Amino acid sequence: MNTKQWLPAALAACLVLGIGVVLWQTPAPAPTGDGALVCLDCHRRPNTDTNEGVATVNGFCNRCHADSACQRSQSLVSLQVPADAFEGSGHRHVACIHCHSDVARNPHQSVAGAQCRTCHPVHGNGPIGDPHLRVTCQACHLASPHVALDQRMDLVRLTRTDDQGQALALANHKRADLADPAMCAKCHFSGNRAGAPAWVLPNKSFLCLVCHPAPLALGHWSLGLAALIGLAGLAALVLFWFSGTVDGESDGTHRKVAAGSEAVWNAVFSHRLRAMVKALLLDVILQRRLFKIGLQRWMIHGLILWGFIGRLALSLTTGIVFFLSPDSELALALIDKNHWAVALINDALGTAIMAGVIWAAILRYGVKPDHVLSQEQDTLSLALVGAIVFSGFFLEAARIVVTQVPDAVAGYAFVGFGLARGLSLLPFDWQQLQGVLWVVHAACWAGFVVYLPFGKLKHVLTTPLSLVMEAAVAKTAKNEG
Amino acid sequence: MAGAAIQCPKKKSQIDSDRKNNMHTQGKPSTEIQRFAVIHRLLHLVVMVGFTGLAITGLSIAYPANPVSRLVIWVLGGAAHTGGLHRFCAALTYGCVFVHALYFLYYRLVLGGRWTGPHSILPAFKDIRDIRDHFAYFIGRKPSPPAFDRFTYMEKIDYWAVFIGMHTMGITGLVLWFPEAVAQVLPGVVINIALILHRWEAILAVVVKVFIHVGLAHLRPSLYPADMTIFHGRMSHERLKHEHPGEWERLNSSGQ
Repeated sequence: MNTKQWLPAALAACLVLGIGVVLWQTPAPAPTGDGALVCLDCHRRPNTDTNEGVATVNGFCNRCHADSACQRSQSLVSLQVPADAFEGSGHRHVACIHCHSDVARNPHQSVAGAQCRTCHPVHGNGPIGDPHLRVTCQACHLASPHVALDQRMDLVRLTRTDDQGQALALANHKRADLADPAMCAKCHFSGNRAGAPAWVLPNKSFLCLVCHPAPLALGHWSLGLAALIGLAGLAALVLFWFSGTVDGESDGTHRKVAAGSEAVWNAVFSHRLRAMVKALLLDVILQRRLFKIGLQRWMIHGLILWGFIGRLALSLTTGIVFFLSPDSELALALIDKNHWAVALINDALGTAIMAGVIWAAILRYGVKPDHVLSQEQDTLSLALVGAIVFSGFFLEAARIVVTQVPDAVAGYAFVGFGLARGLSLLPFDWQQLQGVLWVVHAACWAGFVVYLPFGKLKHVLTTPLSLVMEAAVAKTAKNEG
Repeated sequence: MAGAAIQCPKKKSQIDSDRKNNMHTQGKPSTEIQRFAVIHRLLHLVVMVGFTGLAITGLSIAYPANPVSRLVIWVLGGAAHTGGLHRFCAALTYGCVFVHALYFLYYRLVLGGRWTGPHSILPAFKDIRDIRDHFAYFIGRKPSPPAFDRFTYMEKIDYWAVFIGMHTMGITGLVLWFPEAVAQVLPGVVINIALILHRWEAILAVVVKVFIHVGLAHLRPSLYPADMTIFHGRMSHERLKHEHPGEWERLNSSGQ
């Protein structure tokens, strides 16, 4: 054998021997939980989408955090996570680093805190109202009773110290039972540090949708009652329409409804639809007929009508966008009444309605032109609309005072902010008064809904209907003539 | 639930008033009868939109790798939105079934209509005889097709396929919509079974609609491109005499 033949073989043998010796010298990785750490205990990324990965991560965290000696280094606050912290909780199969996404690093500390919104969308107007957009999830959902407004971050959050200044251990993860009213009373009491109204105000009702984003729920029973009375009035109105002859039918409700629906169907699915849509746009939305009578009356009625239409359009848009995509930037902006665009639009439209009401009142009770006949019904209708907007602005001002919205944010609600500046000088308990104003505003609107089918406000429903029907009939007459 | 699609048997006076009210034939002698009331036309319209939406979104979710599905899901903004729209269409369509059932109760209890009879959409022995006679006519054993009454056996199949299918799809769909709630009561395997049933019943429904309904309401030479009766509710006397001779006879003998 020459050198060329045995040298590779000898080298290979040395390599194998060398690897064998190295492996012999290296200790096997210690199983997690006992003994020293090895590199891969930390420097790896378990698949937290599997139960195995979750168990690995949580076992690793609990090497320290299960221990009662686990403390924050400076403040000596306990960071112990009790063994039963997640028992019966939906989070028991979730890895620690899934929520505490910025802790697996050096230095080992959390800046952002637990991230709920990675998995959970924000509340819309369903379970709680939009003012809670400035409240962290933990403030309500964790059991700790110590909550305050953090002016620096402009967030209502759990405090790290209790009322006596003692440091609080917040690592127990104990969740609040939100069915318990006491949990709302953490913030909602007179003199709270969270910037909350003293009363736990009821949720909005679907009736509020005309001007505000609101859930499709009845809300407080009094608003439900108002809706019921309004609906009963409307039903009476419709029954009255059907008490005469319908399209030649004089007896039998079924016959009349059949004849009526037949006529509506034939009008909608015909060339008359164009005339009807045109009447809806020009006569109803743009108020063509009033424009022909006079610019002043057109503007007064327009300011009120378009103010309400604008608010309705914004609230419906908000509801639809939030339903389709609750986590989008647009949805978050729209449900936030402190957002500059929402605040600006809402206050501008409210101002338009207010201006229309004041202008109408001046004309009606001051100038008194010949066509104006002041009747009780007119006065009541005008007063109701005025009271709704007036109380709304005061409520907004009180909200800005109580929740301490920063000036740079609140300034866009130009009416509410100016009023808030004035109100804050008055020595009243605004945390209490905000609730009173809320009730007054809601009561005004409930009054509007109740009065709607009985007085002159009925025109809100009947005039568009008759204008559109008139257009359909006129078109038929023209075709036949 | 059978009678819900049908109307109160009409009295002569009502048929006359239908004539009088008919916008298109005002002042002229009517040559049409009213076959469907507004509620049935409206329900058909909504179910038509809802069912089409369900089929497009549902099949896209069921076969996501297909290029057409990918296009649909892309246009609708992702699988989550496609699913949301699917559930919206489902609520819309099943809402129609619900209203239809309510109308049936109204028809039965308030209008005092009858379940059975020649005008009923319930299957009857006459349908079996009609099928036999119709096929005999096809192969030349009979000189004319059978005297169909208000609803032919084909229309009954078309109706019941949807009406039964809606419940199957609705129940399995609810199981898939709220699996956690179902699993509180029933074993988990129910959800797997529901998924299989939902998928294959959906395919069956689409196939039935494409073959039977399109064939019946669109591709018949006398009706092509579409039978508009379900939209405007009217049917000409000639067509009624031709397609529903039994009903024509019955209306004539009852005094028209």
